[in-house]
Amino acid sequence: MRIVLEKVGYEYQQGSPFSAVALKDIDLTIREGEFVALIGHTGSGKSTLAQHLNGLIRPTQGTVYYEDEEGRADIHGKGYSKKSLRRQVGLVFQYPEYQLFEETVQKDVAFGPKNLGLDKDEIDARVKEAITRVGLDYDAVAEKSPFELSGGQMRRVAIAGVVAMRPGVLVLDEPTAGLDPGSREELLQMIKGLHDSGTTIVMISHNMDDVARYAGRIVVMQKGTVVMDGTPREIFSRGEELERMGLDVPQSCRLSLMLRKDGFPDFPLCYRPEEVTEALEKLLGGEGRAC
Amino acid sequence: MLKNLIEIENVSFSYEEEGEPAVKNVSLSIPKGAFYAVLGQNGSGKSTLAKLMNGLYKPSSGTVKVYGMDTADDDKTWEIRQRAGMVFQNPDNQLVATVVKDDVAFGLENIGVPTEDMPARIEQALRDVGMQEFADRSPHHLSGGQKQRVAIAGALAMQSDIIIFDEATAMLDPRGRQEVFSVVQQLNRNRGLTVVWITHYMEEAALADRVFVMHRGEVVLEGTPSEVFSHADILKKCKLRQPPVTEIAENLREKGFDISSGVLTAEDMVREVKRLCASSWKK
Repeated sequence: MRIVLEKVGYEYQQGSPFSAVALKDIDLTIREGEFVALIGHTGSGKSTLAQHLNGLIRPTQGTVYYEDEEGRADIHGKGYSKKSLRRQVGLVFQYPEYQLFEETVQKDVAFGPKNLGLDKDEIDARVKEAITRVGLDYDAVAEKSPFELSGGQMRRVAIAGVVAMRPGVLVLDEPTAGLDPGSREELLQMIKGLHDSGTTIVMISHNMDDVARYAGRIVVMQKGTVVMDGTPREIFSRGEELERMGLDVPQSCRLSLMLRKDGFPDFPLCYRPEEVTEALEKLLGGEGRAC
Repeated sequence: MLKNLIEIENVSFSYEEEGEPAVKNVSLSIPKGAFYAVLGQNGSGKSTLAKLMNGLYKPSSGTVKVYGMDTADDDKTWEIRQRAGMVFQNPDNQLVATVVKDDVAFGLENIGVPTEDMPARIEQALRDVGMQEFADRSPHHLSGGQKQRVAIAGALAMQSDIIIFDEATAMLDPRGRQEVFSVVQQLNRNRGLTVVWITHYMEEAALADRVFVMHRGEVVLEGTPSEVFSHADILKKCKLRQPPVTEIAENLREKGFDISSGVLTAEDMVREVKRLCASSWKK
C-alpha cells in the first residue's frame, strides 16, 4: 500500500483570529517498503504531516489517499473505515512511554488489538510477537508493571503496542529522543529489523547521523512545505543548503564540506564515516593522491 | 581561598537499604571555574550523582561537601541548594509561574531576598542568558531552548556559583541544544560559572575541560576529552561511542597514517589533514 498526499494543506484553528498555516501544498507519496526520514526544524510541520498519514488530522486542503493495485481511496471519504485506517498505518508519538497506563506490559500492548475486536488467542499471539519484535524478553517483562522498566524499555513497550496492530506502515516521531547512545542504537536496529521484514517506515529525526545510516530516502521540510526529497546522497550533497537552513548534517558530511572549503575542493561529499576514511586514505597517500 | 567547590569522597548511595547501590565509591572534586562533563548510559548513576551534588540526596556512605558544607548537615541544606543550582532535562517540568520574570523570582522569594532587590537581580539574570526581552511573556509560549535558558536564569538570580545540568539538552532540537550549550559555555568563560554538564552527547563532552564516564554506579574513566575518547574499548563496554571524527582518525592511524591522537572535532581533523599534506610537500 502507498500513501499518497495530494496538495495537502493544514491550517490550525482555521477561520479564527489564531489561525496558523502548518502545511501547504504537500505532494508526497510514501511507497511500500521504503524507509523515509522526515527532517526539518521544530515547527517545520513534520509532526503535523506525520499525523496526516494515519488520518489523525484531517487536512484542511487536498486529499490523503491509500492506494494499491485495486485502486485508491480517500481516507477521509465516505465509507472509509477509521478502524482499518489505524490498522494500516501505526503512529508512534514523541515520548510514547508517557502514554503507558496499564498495570502490566502484557495488558498495555494488548490494548490496541483488543479494540480491534480480535479474539483472545489472536490477541495473546500478537502481544507476544510484538514484545519479541521490539527486542524484549516476553517472559521477563509481560507481567511486570511498565513503570518498573528503564526508559528505553518503556519506549519499546509503547512501540510494541503499535506493532501489535500489525500496521503495514509505521510512522515514528523522534523515536530516539532523549535516549542514551546504547539504547538509541538498539532502538534503531529494532526499527531496521521491522523494515527488513517488510514494514514501511517513516521516521522523524533530528539526528542526521542516524538518518544517514538507516534511511533510504530523506524528505526535508521547511515552513510547512517539502523543500527537498531524495536519497541520502542527493540530500547531503546539498549539505551547504542544509546548513544554511540551520539543519545539522552528519559529522562526516560536515568534515567533507569543511575540507572542500579549506583547500581540498575535489574532496568527495561523504556522509558515512567509512566513506570519509576511504577518501582521506586516497587523499593522504596511495593512488590519486592530491597532496 | 577554597579551590574545590564540590568535594565528593568515597560516596555510595542506594535507593533501598539492601539494594544495589546506584552510586558506588565515587570520589571526585570540582574546582572553581571548571566545565566538567559526565557521560554514561541510562541507569549508570549520573543523575543520582547529580542529585548528591546539591544535597537532594544524602550519601549512604562517604561525604559530599559543597563550599566546605557537608550535605548531610540538614541545617546547611538551603545554603547548599542556593550555591549549587540544578537544571533538569524536561523544560516543561521546571517552570512554575505564568510570567517569565516571576519564574526567575520564585527561588528568590524562597530564600528571603528583599523585594526591592529582586528586579535588578532578575533583569541581570535574564540578560545573562539573553532572555531579557521575554521578561513579561508567558513561559508556555517559549521554545524548549528558551525555557531551559529561563531555568538557568533562575539559578543565576539565586547567585549560584555552580550549576549542575542533568541532561539539560536531551529533549531539545539541534538549534535549542546549540542555544543552551553556548549560553552555558559563555557563562563559564565570561562569568566563571562552574559547570557540571551531564549529557549523552559526545560532541558536547568533547568541549569540556574534563570528562567523567560512569558505568554501573562507578567512575570508570576520567580525564581530558582526548584522553577519555581514546579508550574506544572501555567506551564501547559502557555503551558509549567515540565521536565519529575520532573514529575516522583512529582508523587512519591504524592504517599507518601519522594522525595525532586527540582528534575530537571536524576542525581538529581538517587541521591534521593540512599538517600531513604540508609535511608531504616538504619531502
